[in-house]
Amino acid sequence: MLPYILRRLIHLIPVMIGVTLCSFLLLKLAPGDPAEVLAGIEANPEVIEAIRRKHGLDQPLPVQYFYYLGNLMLGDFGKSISTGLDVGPMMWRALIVTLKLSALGLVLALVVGIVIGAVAAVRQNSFFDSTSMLFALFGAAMPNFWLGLLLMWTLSVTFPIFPAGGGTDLYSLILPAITLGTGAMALIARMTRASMLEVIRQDYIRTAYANGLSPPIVIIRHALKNAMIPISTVIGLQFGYLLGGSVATEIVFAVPGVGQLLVDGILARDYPVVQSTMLMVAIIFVLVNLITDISYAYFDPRIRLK
Amino acid sequence: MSSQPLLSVRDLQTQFVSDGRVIKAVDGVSFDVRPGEILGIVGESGSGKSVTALSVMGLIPWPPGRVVGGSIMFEGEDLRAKTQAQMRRVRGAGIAMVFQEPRTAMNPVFRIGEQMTEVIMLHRKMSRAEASGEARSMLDRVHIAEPGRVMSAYPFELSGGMLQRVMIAMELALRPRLLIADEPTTALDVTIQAQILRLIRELHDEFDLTVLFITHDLGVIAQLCDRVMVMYAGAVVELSPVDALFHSPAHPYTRKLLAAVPSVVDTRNTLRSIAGDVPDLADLPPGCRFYDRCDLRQPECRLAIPDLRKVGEDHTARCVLPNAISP
Repeated sequence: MLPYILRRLIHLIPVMIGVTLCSFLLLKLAPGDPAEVLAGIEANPEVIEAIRRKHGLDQPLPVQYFYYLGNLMLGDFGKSISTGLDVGPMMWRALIVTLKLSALGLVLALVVGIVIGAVAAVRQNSFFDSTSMLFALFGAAMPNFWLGLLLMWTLSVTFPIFPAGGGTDLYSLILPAITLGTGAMALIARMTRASMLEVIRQDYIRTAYANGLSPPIVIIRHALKNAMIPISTVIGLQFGYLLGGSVATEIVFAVPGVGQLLVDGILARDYPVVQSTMLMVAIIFVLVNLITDISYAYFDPRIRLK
Repeated sequence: MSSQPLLSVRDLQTQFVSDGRVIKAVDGVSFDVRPGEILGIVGESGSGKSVTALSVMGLIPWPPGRVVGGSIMFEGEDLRAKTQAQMRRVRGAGIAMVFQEPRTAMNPVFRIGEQMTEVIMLHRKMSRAEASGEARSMLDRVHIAEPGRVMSAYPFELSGGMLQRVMIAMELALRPRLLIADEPTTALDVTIQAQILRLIRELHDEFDLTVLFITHDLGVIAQLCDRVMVMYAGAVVELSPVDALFHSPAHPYTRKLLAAVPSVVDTRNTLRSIAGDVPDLADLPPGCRFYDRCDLRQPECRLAIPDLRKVGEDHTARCVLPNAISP
């Protein structure tokens, strides 16, 4: 298992370089000049030129890129063009909030999704099966921002149970987490159902029953572990999507996370902020994929031992 | 043979529903399994052999299937009257079952040892350590060379023959009174098949085990069984001691089945088959089910299903003229 993880970590290096290059170039190719934005509409050319020099924007692109890369190696993410503050601490604060939100959303999606999917499979064609799958369809089709607004309207305006947003404590994050996790929950429920239906038809399930094991043990112990194999890949991908997809949710509920930081950065053409944030989201996405592959190996010994 | 039968099935009827049609997979099957014997059930695919076995185990999946009639008495108790919780104590500990395809019959994500100890702990009320020791000694008993290594292996790391031994060891570790083996050698190589058959014979002698052995292979029946039941289209057509079946088959179907076994001596003949098709189990004719394919059919055969008639010592056949047939 350990050599496998190490090998995967080494594979990350070229991916990381690619990510930094992409985030760097994408922003350079985008129209608009941050120096002009900083200087204001009526600034004279000298002021703009001075700002360019100050931030190294007058250097050739490769130089700017290696300068950026070198600073990254030293843990220096640069200073925000618009606020002048270090990007590193800004990003960490935002990241912790987004991770908390995404993790809460994922846990919610997993627990509810797997339970609903498994019950729907075991009671195939029952009332529970058809209604839960109909709701799953709605959940998957509902846009985040709309679901967020509906939840806010019902559960914090009409019935003020939850705060409408702005907080970063667990209680304030419940509505955003539901908003964020519903799509993943719907997908996980449908996948669990399909996977369970496949598994409970297998011979080894019949063997388990033929050996006198009780239905809860057969379903939870023998069937679910097999059914989790295809689901575990989706979980990783979903966590990635939750991190990326938290932008709309964070804005609806005014959660000061990475999504908010990214959008503010883009609007202000704040290169260091946008680059660093994109880089971090990409790194997290890649790490999540790695963890997914490792969990896959945990659920399926056939992968671990090959 | 005066002793009480271990398993007594009477007029068993198991049906499946498919596209609104009722398929009579098992229709009025009756037989006894006597203590200590190996009873073979032979028949082609779809003759109702496996459905009979699963009906006894109470493992017919509803939907689409269900046992709709008859009685299944095991050790004097009616299994059909038992609750699910009571049936769970019969499955494994009373009647154990070994399946056709050992590769898919074991759970791919658990080690062999985990799967064995789990059921041994359940039925024999042992601690984990005791159950593990029992599993190890049973693996040793079925001639597995390195029980320790096999216990910590996953099913995909073992060969089909090894896995079938493991399955047999797992089931026998539960000390069942009856072992149902549903084509346990069909998926295996011929040489492995012979080893497994020898093993079953050996364990039968050692543990005084009663076996219900299902196969489509008459050769296997001849090697292993004491008595044999021939099934055709969901019904029993002949029930007899093995010797009598091979020397004086009474039912035309049995005779054709025997004639279809390829001969090593006479290799000039091409492979023989039985002309015609098995009747549609959802639309059975009122008379004999073999009528369409029978060379000796009589007008009366068309009208009603013949009874099982005694044709010899401990030998019955479902045919109107068993005595007219010369062996």
